Parts: sequence; C-alpha cells; structure tokens
Amino acid sequence: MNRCAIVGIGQTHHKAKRQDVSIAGLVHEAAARALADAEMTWKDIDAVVIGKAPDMFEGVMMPELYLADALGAVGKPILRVHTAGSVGGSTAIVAAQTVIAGVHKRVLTVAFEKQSESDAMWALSPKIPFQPQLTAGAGGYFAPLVRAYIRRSKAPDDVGVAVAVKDRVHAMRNPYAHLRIQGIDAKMVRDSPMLWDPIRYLETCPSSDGACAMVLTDDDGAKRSPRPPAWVHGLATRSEPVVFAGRDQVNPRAGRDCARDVFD
Amino acid sequence: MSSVAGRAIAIVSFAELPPAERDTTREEAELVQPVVAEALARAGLDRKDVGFVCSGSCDYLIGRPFSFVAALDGVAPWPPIRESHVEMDGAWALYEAWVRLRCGDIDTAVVYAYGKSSLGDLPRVLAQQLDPYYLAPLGVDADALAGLQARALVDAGRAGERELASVREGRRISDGAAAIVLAVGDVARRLAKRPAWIRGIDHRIETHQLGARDLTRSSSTRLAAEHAGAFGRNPDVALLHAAFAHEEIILKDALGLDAATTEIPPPRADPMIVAGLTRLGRAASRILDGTAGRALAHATSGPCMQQNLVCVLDGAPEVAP
Repeated sequence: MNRCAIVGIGQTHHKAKRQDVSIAGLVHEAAARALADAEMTWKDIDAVVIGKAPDMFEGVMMPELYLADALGAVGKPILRVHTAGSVGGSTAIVAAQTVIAGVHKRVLTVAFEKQSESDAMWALSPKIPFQPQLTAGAGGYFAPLVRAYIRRSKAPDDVGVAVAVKDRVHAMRNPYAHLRIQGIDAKMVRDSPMLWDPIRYLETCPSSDGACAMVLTDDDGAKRSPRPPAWVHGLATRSEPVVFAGRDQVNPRAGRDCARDVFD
Repeated sequence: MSSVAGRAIAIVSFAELPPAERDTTREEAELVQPVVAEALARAGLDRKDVGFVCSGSCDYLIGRPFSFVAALDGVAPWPPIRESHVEMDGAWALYEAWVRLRCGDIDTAVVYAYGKSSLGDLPRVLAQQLDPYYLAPLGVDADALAGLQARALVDAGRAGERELASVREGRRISDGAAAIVLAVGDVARRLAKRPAWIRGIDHRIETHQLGARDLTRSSSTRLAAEHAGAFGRNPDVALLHAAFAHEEIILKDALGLDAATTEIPPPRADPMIVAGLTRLGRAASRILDGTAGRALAHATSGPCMQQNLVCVLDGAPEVAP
C-alpha cells in the first residue's frame, strides 16, 4: 500500500445561485484553485474522480461525460462516484484509493452540486409508485430520527441550535462559505422558522451551488508539495440495508462500525 | 497495468439475468438479489466473507433518485458492509473494485449492475447526458447521434451502407442485471478452477464536443487498450460493447482486432448500464470454462462512444517479480 497525501485544495464561492457560471465553469473554478494551491498544472494530473448526488439536481445525466473537458480529463480516466448523501466523502475515498493502490500518482478529485438548476428539495423527495409520500426534503426524512435521538440520549433541546451556531461561526473564517451570518447567535437561530420539528431554518443546510476540489498525490508528489501535505491516515465506508427489522436509524450500526474501522 | 506482486486479481464467477424487453414484476433489489446470489453460489463464497461490494446503475434510467440505495437490500448488507457505487456502467464499478482490491487489505469483491431502460424512452433519456447549454438544445437523441457516427464512417469509406443495414438491430429497450465475483491470488485459485486473471484494465474519455472528435476512430478505446496492455498478443475472443454494426467496425479498428485469429461475437443490445459489465463477465466465462486462454472485454459510455474501458483477461496470472 502506498501513502496518499493531499497537496492542494480549492473551493468555489458557494451561493444559492451561481448564475455567473455554467456547471462546467463551476467545477473548473474549484479544480483550478486546487491546482494553483498545489502549484501543479492540468498536465500533471493522471486521473480525475468526481462525485455528486442525484443527477436530477442539475438535470444532466452522468455529468462526467459533459464535464471531461472542463476538468482536463480528456485522454485520462475519469470516474463518477455516487453514494447519495455521503458522496463528498466517498469520492475522496475512491480517489485516495487509486493512489494507495498504486494505480495513479496524482489525482484530481471534485465534488459539486449546482442545485439552482432544479429544485433539490423535491428532486430528492420523489413520489414512488404504490408508496405514500411520507417526506418532503431531507429534513422531513431526518426530523423523526433527530427527535428520537434527543429523547434517547436526553440531549438538551437546544443542542442542534448550538451546533448550527458553531458551524456558522466557523463559516465566518471561510470566505467561500454559503452562509456568512454576521453576529449569529443562539437567539437568532431559535427565532428562525421551524421547518421540520425540531429542525429550524437556520439549522438547515441551504441549497447551494458550489464545488470543492483536492489534489491527491503519492510520496513523490508530497515531496514536491509547496506546503506541508495533509496525509491520509484512514479511510472507511459502511452501508446497511434500507428495509431491515434489525436496523436502528437513530444509532446506526453502519456508523459505529465505520468509525471503529477508520481509527483502527 | 500490472498487478502488484502476489496480488493478481481474477474474475472467479459471473451471473446475469436473461435480459427482458420489459420486466414488469421486479424492482431494484429484486433484480440484484438473484444475480448476486447466483454469482456467489458459483464461486462457493458466502456473502459474509465478501470484502467489498461495488455497483453500477443510473438514477435517470430508472427514473428515481437514490435507486442504488434501494438496490442494496438485494445483497443483504448485514452486518454492514464496505460498499460503493458509481453512476456508470457496471464495468466501471468493476474497475473501482479492482482498485479497492489492490489496496491490499481485502481478498474478495462483488460487483453488480442493474438497469430498467423500459421505464423510459431510452434514446431521449440518453439525451440528458448532453451538454445542457450547447448540445441538448439541438434536440438530438442518442440514436440520431449514432446515425451521425455511422454516416461519418460511410463518408470516410470505411463502411458500406449495405454493411450497416443491420443498424436497427441496435438499442433495444431492455431490463436486466449482472454480477461478478472478484478475488485475489490464492483465494481466487480456491474459488475457481480456472480464474480469469485481470492482466490489465484501463479506461479513457474523449472530448464531449462531438464536432471536435474524429467520430470514425475511437481514440479513447485505443488509449485504454494501450494502457491495459491489450496489444502485442491477439486475444482468442473479444467481447465488444457495441450496439450497432458501425460501432463494431470502429472498435475493431481501434483495438487492432484481427477477425481471423480472434472470435468477435456480433453486436447485440444488452440492458444499458449492465451491458459493459456483461461483456466482462462473458469474456471471463470463456476463460473460466476453458474455451479461451486470453480474452478482451470492452465497455463504452456516452454519446458516440465518448468513454471506453478495456480489460484483458487471461488464464494465467502475471508472473510475480
């Protein structure tokens, strides 16, 4: 097994609508920033691994085909990972594995969404034949699980609010973040509209247009990194069934097993 | 692309559903469960001993986001499993599984793909792959684009119109699923009498802009074949992922295949998203059953075969250095 280093990162400005760029322009922006950060060029990249959630969010099916040019992938291998909500993480994992496995030496990996092209909330709440429409949006799906977690763990009612404040305060340190709310505090979050009890508007991920890219290399690439590389020490994935009596969605076994695996 | 010493990777079994023109009884998990169960049974492998599972499918094809999540129940992932998914033909899922096995910590993987093209108008669904700003508004569907490529080949003098008369044999709406079991080194030898060793596998993509491509040549197939080590020795059999006669001509040219020494079954339509994986599986089957010593399998994706994967399978593993 080889080691894998992250030697460059790049993000786009995340907004509700990036009307100034096409989908290709969006991913190119992040990729170009990551390459600049790594002080590398498009020619230095051996392969590209992209990932994103359902294609219905943009209305472009299998977008690696359309985006090959924007990502300098012509003449190279390009993979498109799709593991639903976990796709940002799993895309990076697949990219890192190509380096760890010794298949490639320098890999560009990009995750993105341009959700303004569609209506993401409804794109992920399809009406499946012969089933009642139970949820609207990701929050609709998770809210009952969140309530069950709070009840089981006896977590304080405002723990979600505290997390939201923490995240939004940290976002003030990232000029590319979607939500940069000056003076955000617990009261502001508690006063925002309730969407799916107990999840409030300011606790919810906004629907964004944005992309994030990284350049991954092996030891040779890490030696040439302009800044200290970030080494990958552990990778893990776990999946469990959708419909299974033994499943506990409030404290998923897949989550526990995955966490144990990544640290072992 | 050689295997890491001592970690030769092989296909040890393959199973496919007989493709139906329209399956009206099965959802995703029900397509996947029988092929995965059969592939595991053929390999004599218990699902609890599988190190990694990877699948290929397409939400748009089946008309439902997160379709592959529902499909996963077909492999009974309990206790929770290492798993991944690409929104691509299963051939690329096999590529990811091959990469995963080369990481060195696991010895077996299951790859599957499923698709139900019958749920939509396939040529129009495929038009969703096109650049939404410049190509999609032209109103061309996948069959029209294939026609453009066939016309280019005829104009270049590399095919006669009569030769391509069987073009409409091509894309038939069909539903199906397939599964493959991969294993490493001695584990592969235990699971199959004659493992189909992956001597090389690679994939490449061309520009999306059709006007900037030479549609009479498949440069990405040639490049993938070079990197997979396909040249230098004729395979006994080559299974090409071509739905149309003109595609077969272009691929044979790119792969340098000599019909005199290599058996090349004629093009046929197979369920989209499964078809490439099926080529890999059928090629492996020829080695598994001893009727071929070396096989080449090809998979394609995108308008006018924009992206291509080539895999070289052999009855003998690479000699470890």
